[in-house]
Order: sequence, then C-alpha cells, then structure tokens
Amino acid sequence: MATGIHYEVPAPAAPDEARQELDRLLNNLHKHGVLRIANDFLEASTDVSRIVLAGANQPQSRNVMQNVSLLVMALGKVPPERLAVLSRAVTEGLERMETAADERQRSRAPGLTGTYKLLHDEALWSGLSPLLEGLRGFAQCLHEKEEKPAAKRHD
Amino acid sequence: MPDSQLCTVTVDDRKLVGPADIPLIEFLAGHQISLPHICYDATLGALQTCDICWVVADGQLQRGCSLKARDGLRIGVNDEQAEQARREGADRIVARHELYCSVCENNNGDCQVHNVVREMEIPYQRYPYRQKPYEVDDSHPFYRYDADQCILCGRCVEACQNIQVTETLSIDWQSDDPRVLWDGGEVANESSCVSCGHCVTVCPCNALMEKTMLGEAGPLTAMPASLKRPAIDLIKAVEPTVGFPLIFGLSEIDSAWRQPEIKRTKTVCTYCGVGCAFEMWTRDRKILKVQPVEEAPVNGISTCVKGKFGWDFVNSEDRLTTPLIRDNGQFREASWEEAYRLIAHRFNEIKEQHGPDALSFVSSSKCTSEESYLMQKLARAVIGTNNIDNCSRYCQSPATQGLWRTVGYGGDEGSISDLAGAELLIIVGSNTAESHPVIATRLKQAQKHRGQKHIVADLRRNEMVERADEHIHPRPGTDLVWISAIIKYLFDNGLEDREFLDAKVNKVEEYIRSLESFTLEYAEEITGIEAQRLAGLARMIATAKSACAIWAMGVTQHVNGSDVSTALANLMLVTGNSGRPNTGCYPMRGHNNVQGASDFGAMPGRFPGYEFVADDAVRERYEKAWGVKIPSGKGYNNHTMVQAIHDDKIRSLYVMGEEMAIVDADANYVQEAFDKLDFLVVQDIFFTRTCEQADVVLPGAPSVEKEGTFVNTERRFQRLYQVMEPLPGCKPDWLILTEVAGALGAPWDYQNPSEIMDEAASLAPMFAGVSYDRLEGFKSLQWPVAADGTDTPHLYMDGYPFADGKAKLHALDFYPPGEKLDETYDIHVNNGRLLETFHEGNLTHRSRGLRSLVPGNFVEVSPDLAARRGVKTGSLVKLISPYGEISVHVLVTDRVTGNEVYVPENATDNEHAINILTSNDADKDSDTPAYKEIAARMEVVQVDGPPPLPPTNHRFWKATPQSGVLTERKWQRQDYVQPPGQARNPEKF
Repeated sequence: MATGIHYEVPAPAAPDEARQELDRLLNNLHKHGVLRIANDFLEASTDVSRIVLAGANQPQSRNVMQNVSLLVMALGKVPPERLAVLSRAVTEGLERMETAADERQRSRAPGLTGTYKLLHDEALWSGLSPLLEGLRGFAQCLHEKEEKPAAKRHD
Repeated sequence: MPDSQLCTVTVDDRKLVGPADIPLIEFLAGHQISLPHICYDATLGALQTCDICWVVADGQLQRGCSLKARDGLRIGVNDEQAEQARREGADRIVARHELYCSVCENNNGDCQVHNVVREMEIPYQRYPYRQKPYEVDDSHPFYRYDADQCILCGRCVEACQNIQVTETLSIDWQSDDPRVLWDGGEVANESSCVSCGHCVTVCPCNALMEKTMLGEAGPLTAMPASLKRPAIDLIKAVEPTVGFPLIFGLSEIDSAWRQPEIKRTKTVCTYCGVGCAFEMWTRDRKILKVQPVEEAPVNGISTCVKGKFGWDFVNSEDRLTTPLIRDNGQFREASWEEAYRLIAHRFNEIKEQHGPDALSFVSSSKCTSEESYLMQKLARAVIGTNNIDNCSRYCQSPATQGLWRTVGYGGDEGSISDLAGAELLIIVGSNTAESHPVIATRLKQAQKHRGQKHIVADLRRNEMVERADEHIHPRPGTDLVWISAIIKYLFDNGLEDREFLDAKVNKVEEYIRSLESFTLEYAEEITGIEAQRLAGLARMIATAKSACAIWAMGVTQHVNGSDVSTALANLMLVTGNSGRPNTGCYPMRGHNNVQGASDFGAMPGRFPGYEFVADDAVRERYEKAWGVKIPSGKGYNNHTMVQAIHDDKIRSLYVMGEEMAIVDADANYVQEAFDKLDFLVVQDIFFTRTCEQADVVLPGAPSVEKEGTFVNTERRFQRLYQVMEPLPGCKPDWLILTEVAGALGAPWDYQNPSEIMDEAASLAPMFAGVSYDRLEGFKSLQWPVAADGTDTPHLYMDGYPFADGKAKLHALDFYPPGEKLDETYDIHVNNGRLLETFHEGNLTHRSRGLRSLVPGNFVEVSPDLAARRGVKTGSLVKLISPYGEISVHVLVTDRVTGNEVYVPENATDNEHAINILTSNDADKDSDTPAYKEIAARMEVVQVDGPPPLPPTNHRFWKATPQSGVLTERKWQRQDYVQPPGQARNPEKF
C-alpha cells in the first residue's frame, strides 16, 4: 500500500562563494601551468639556486649589477632639490634649443663683429661658466686611473 | 547554384560573381568584404535605420542593406563619399549610445555597436553623447529597457511586429525624443507584450537586456552602480584625450577576459513540441541567458516566454538530490546502491509472484528519445512485459490513430515551412499562439504578410480566433459532424479533387456512402453552425490551391478524438491537400519529446519506429539483438494501467518524469489506484504529487544536465548537449535506467547516449541513418531517415506507406460526448494550457518571473454567466463534477461564452487541478482521456476576492499593429539629414 506521504526537500546549504572563487583561482593557476612552475621551482630550489648563482657570477652579469648599483648610488648622492633644479634647467634648455632650432632659418652668421660682441656678452659667459667648469671636472675624472668605485669612494 | 541565379557585381573595379537578388551586405560578405552595418539582420531584413552601410551605386549613395545584388551593378565601397556617409552614420550612433563597454553586459564579443565602431576605426566621439529624458524601464520581470543606450535601430520593433507578430512595440519617430514604446506607452510591463524575448534577442546593444545578465556577464559588470557611474565618468573624462582606440583596447581585453567564464551550449527547449533550439549561456550553474541563433532549423531567432526565460527550475532549491525510500511511514534519504537494490528486489519478487505483466512502465515526454528507448527496453527485455507507454496517451494518440488509418505515418506530414507556405489553414481545437507559440508566429506572419487565410474552429476566443478570417464555434464535441458535412458537400457539388482521389486514394466510394447522414442541415442541428456558413467554408477550402489542417487537444481529448483526427485527414485527402508542398495534416505535438517517446517504442504495442510487437519477424530482430524472449501481446497503456491496478492485475509501476497523479484524467481515481500498488518507483527532478505515493524516488536530471535527442512535431531529430553537470546527487535518466537494469542483472554498458541511439538506429529501419555525427550542432534530420542519412522533410511525396502506395479514406460515425450537461451539471468546463505555464506547472511554477505573470489557477467565466450567477472577477467558486471538486477564483472574460467556462491545467495540487473534475471516459480508439468533456456545476463560495491575474498580464492590453518600423517617418523629420550631411540633433534619431 502506497499511501501518500508529503516530503519537504531540505533546503540546500548556501553555496560558499568565497570557496568557489578560491577553487576557481586554484583551477586557473593549475590550468595555466603556474602551479606547476611554482611547484617545480620549490621542489628544485637548491639546484635552481645554484644555476641562478652560476649564471649571475659571469662578467657581464656582474657588470650589469655594478653599473645599476653605481647609478643608484649616484642618484643617492644628489639632493632632491638639486636634481629638481637640474631637471628644470634641462627642460628649459631643451625648450630654448627647440625655439632656436625653429628660428634657425632667420639666424645669420655672426661674422667678425658679431663674434667680438659675443666675447663681451656678460650674460652669455655667466651662463656658459658652469658648463665649462662642469666639462673641466668631467675631463679630469676621465684622466684618473681606473679603480674600483668602492675603493675610490672610501679614499 | 545555377548560372541563372548568379550575377556579376563590380565592386571598386573588382568583378565579383555571387547569388543575385540578395542584399548587397550578404553578397559582399560572401566575398569576405565587410560592409559595416547594425540594423540589418538576415531574419529582420533591411530596416534602413542605422545609416551606416552606405555605398555608391550608379553614382548615388545607397544603403547596402536595401540594395540587391544584380547583374551589371557597379558599386563603390571605398568611395570617399560612401566612407564619409558611413562615418557620419556611425558618429550618430555613438551620439545616442554611451560607450562604456567594459562595464556593459553586452560586451561579449557579439555587440554590433561595439564591433562596428571598432571595425570602422572611429577615432573619437565627434558628436557629444546626450542623455535622453527617460528613466530606465525596469518594470518587466524578464528584461530592462534603457532609452539612453537605445540607438533606435528598430530591430526590436520589427521583431515584435513582423516576426513574433504580437505587434506591441513601436518607435515614436515624430516625438521630440523618440524611443521604443509598448502599446504606445513607456512601461514595458503594462502592455500586450507576451515576453517572447524576440526584442531582447535582436537588440544589437544593451538597450534591451535580459535581467539575468545584469551584473553577471563579466567581472566588471558586477561593480555596484555606485561605483559604475563614477568609473564610467572617469573613463569618459580621459576619452577626449586618448580617443576611442585605447578605451576600445581595454574593452577588448574585458571581452576576451569574459570568454573563459561564459559557456555557450546548444540545447533544445524542454517545453512544447515546436522544438526550438538555441544557445544557453551559463557561468558555472548560473544561466545567464538563452540566445537563439539564425541557424536553428525550427525557430531561428524565435522563442516564447518559457523557452527564453523559463529556466529557473533548473537551479530551484527544491530539486531532488538524493534517492528517497519509503520507510515506516516517511521518506528517508538513501544511497543509489540501496535504492537500486530495493528496486531490483521488489521487481523480482513481484515478477516471481505475479508474472512480468504485473509490472508496468511509463516513460516521459520530457526525457530524451534515448531514455524512452531504454525504458521500453527495460520493460520488454529485462522484465518481459509490453506494459510500457508515455504521455502521448494523454494528448496525441488519437491524432496518430487518425493518421495511421488514412495516410500511414503517425507524424506531421511536412514541416513548419509547409504550414507557413499554405494558402489556407484549417485550425481546429488548437490554441496555437499559447500552446505552440513559435509555430503560431509563422502562421501569423503568413497571414499578415502573405495573405494566408485561417479558418479557426474553437470554443474559446483565443488569439488564433481573434486573428481568424473565419471563426466557427461548434457545440462541444461535435467537430466530426461539421467536418464530415463539409466533405459531403464537396462531393455533392463536385468540389472534391477527383484526379487526386482516383490516382492516390482507396476506399473512396465506400467513404462517400458513409457520409449520407452528414447533411448541412444535420450539421447545423448538431453543431449550431448555420448550413450556409458551412457551405461557404467548404467552397473556401475547395478553392484554396494549398491547405493544411492543424489540430490539437481540442480535437483529440474527446471520446471520438481518433475519429475527428481521421475526419480531418479525410478532408485533406478529399481536397487533394496531401503529398505535395504546403499541404497535409499537422497535429501539434504537445511536449518537447512526446513524438520521440512514441517513436522510440514507449508504446504498448509497438517497437521503435512503430513496428508491431506482434510481428514475429520484427520481434525476432529485437530478441536476437537483445538476447531475450519478448512477449508478443500488446500491453496496457497509461490509461488502462490505472484500471488494471484497480483490478489487481498490475502490482508495480515505474514512472519516469511524469506527474501522472495530476495529469491523468479522474485524478482521484488514479491516486486511489496508486494507493493499491505494491511498489511504485518515481523518477523525477522534483518531489511531485506522484512522488507522494512512491516507495522509491530517484532524482533524475533535466534536459540541460544531459545529452540526447528530442524529436519535435515535424518529426525532426535535434541534439541537445550537456549545458552543465547534473546537480550533485542527481543522475541523467539514461544512466539511472542503465544502472537499474544492471541491478536487475542485465549487462547494459552504455557510456554515452550516442551508443543508445546507434543501437536504436541499427534496429529500427525508420531511423537507420540517424547518428550523433549527422546531428552535430544545429543539424537536424526528419524521419524516416535512410541509412545514407537522407531524411524526409515532407512525407508522401512518393506515395503512402501502404501496400499499393495509396492513402485510404476512412468511414466514420458520430459518437457524441460522454459527459452531457443536465440540470445538475449545467456548466461545460473546457481546459488547456496557458502561454506562461506548462502542463501542470511543475517546471514553470518554479520561475518567479512566470509566476508573477500568472500567480495561480482560475476559471474563465463569460460576462453572461457571471451576471446570472452574481460573480465577478476575483470571486471564489467551486466547480463540482461527478468525480470531484476544485476551488478557483473567477476571471470574467469574453474569451468564453454562455455556460462554457475554461480552467487552465496550471495546478499541481488536488485543490485546483482540473483533472479532479475529469471522468474516466476516453477516446474509444486510443484510450486518450476525454479531458475536454466535463460537465460540472458552479457554486459561489465568496463573491469578493483578489483578481486571479495581475493587471499587468498581457491579456488586458491592446496591441498597436503597424507594418513595421516605419523608418520613412524618421526620414520625414525636419531635423533628419541624409549622411554624409551632418546632423543637427544626432542623438534624436
């Protein structure tokens, strides 16, 4: 005898959306090989480290590391306010060069008289003096004996 | 393609050869030349609204959508003037549509607006985007309209007016700010909209968007609105500097980013027998949307409200997810192994004690053909009984009987395209617009655009009646008389197709003699239809060059259902409307696979392919293949099983996917029978009323969780692919049957439904050439299918499947309805489907949107009867028949007249279900219950009550028919300037 019985289907547990997203992330990391690479790396970390160190200990690699370090240290010696002045000066200089380039068609050769006048232009010489001084210092450094920068820095 | 159908078109000095008389857009596409366009769609045709697809032809700018390829045509695509015009058109589009693609639900790679702007490399926004003075319309339960995103392409209007032909949508081109309107108003949910979804499907952007997509399409669309707007504003602030390319780059990345998440799977609808196929878009188990596609062989871009929006049930929280076993007066959860062990033990026990015929099996019209094949194999090969049937017993077995008697095959003669191409349709007892909505669209299209004539016979004023050219309302159950009288009139007046009858039909004279009593006067007396009216209809039918007969439950669910079906087939033969295009008989199959369930042998007397179990040679073929002996005697059918249970002849029943306790007639009697069973197994996706009386309940899987095939009303096989994995705990029904058979000791080893189909095709000649390979994607086959894969879109083109190749006229007598009105039972209770619900509602009731349209069951009462009984809309009444009573609220409507009322099938409980009222009477030839023959009385319980339908229901609103988008009205605007001229108000149109 199959008398009717009512049955309430129990409500399903609320889906754990965070867990689903995590599962999906894991699945994608797996599908795209990221997990495999990470696992491979971890499992072979000693060997991999040795290979990485061996590669890094080549002359070219060492040069890259030293040069990048020198640039970083040089930037460390420049106070930000000086770099700001310098960057503004470079920008201004570039703009004037652009303007001068645009006006080049209209410029004429200065001639002997014009050159004589330039030699007596106080503003021009006060602008050129720092550049000339800079060039002088730059040239002296070029003539110094090559030494390890760290040694030089600590002299 | 023959040379006569080809043409040569000169395109930018290149001579291209292709099909003539097709839109230039299509012609160019055939040569891999993309002419940018938005409003043009192959189904919708040339709307000419988007003003993008300009070319220069014969020295003039012309739209490539409306220009047809023809021999000698010279066009310039890369012409500077054409390029400028296309650019102007595209600039106008983005003036109306705010591009925020990365947070747009439509940025899925198929957004036409996005794609055209990208393809044309539009560098920046030339015309500023301006908002329109309208709020977003969020009123509709299934979709949203955002006028700010609408480009006024008119695709939605064209789809509504001329594809769906509900004629709700329009654009007010003369308005200051044109927009899409619903019945001329601005609220979608207060309109005649039937929620078919055509408008949303064809929208080229995100103006009309399925609500299931909102916030779900991509990772960024889930952003809260409070963030979305500021994010859009930020991007829009940057956009003038960087232009479209960088922004589009981001949205392209977003679109690509979505693709791995969005799965697009082809499936076939699980509701009616039309067989709509479409892509279902999902993200995990979330159903994002149903997207119909052009190449779907039955429906193309069409759907109805259920197919487009009615899928909530799949993820309903009350899905069964574990087997249940009746134990000590209650159900307890059980493992599959325990459930199988119990089933095997009890089946074997009952078989040993009472013989194999004490067991019976009911297959499902909702399940796949492969599953019906296994169900009948389980009954025949494992148990050894032919007690196997399916739900077609409740609906279309009489139609099959009528066709077997006359033309030979139990299926629709042709295809839906034949119905659309006929000059005349005779529609009897078919509420096609609600029961087979997508087929109805094709019929309404044919009527609206090509002047097709419709003769509709129905008791109730449904949409097909309202649109009919001729409507007759015969007295209930008298269809056979007026049909036979018309046939007699045709013979009497020499209007029959004598040449056809002589050449292709037998038993003509015998049939003519049988018509003697069916005079027009007799018909008038019995049916209430005037004799002269019938004579006029007869002449109309006789003079039509091609005619088809369509019928459904209004014909079949009577004590003479098979006879009326036969009469309609007789009518088609007498008028020569058979065996040629656009003619024939078309009983509308009710469920998605009710055709396939019978096709694959879930019938008590037939093997797959309709071969008789009594045929020794056929039976031997199956016995050899299955390695068993099969009984030769016909088994019980669905309806007679119930009586056999009462008579203690059947002790056990296995019901797969049918709500038999509610949908069989005289439900109280059915439920009493179930009480008497020794062992009842029910396999379903929900705990139905039938489950309540089960001993074991098995959780099956809906169509989207499995593979298989369905056969639609056109005899068309279509494959459904697995959209998502079965809900944990559930199994595909074919797998359950395989495992049940295994528990019973049968060595079944099906790994995939394709193996089941291969086995069926190897045994049933009718399906010899059916294979999953031949049904790949949207491919389909209409049976019979020869071994080489040749199918049969139209039957009988080379004769009829009888010995001499001729059809047969079948003589008939009139059997009046079983239930007659009298003084006690003075109300005729008609019944059937509603558009928004399916059958009893176990699936559709679990859709919040569908439920909002039709919250509960009701009875339609005529104004006349309501006045006489003192009831009004909302009144609660009891309908009482000799077999039971139900309580329903009243809806007063002129869809019914006099003492005829209408109750939808829409109920899953005994308090409201129509079959509490039906009798055990059945069609005398097929045992299909006479559902449509109910005599009842009506008692008023309460006069005042809530109206059963919300005021927003589409039935209360008046449509606004027009010929189409009416683009010419846009061109008539004073501010319209044809591109490349620059528009003054580009955001206006």
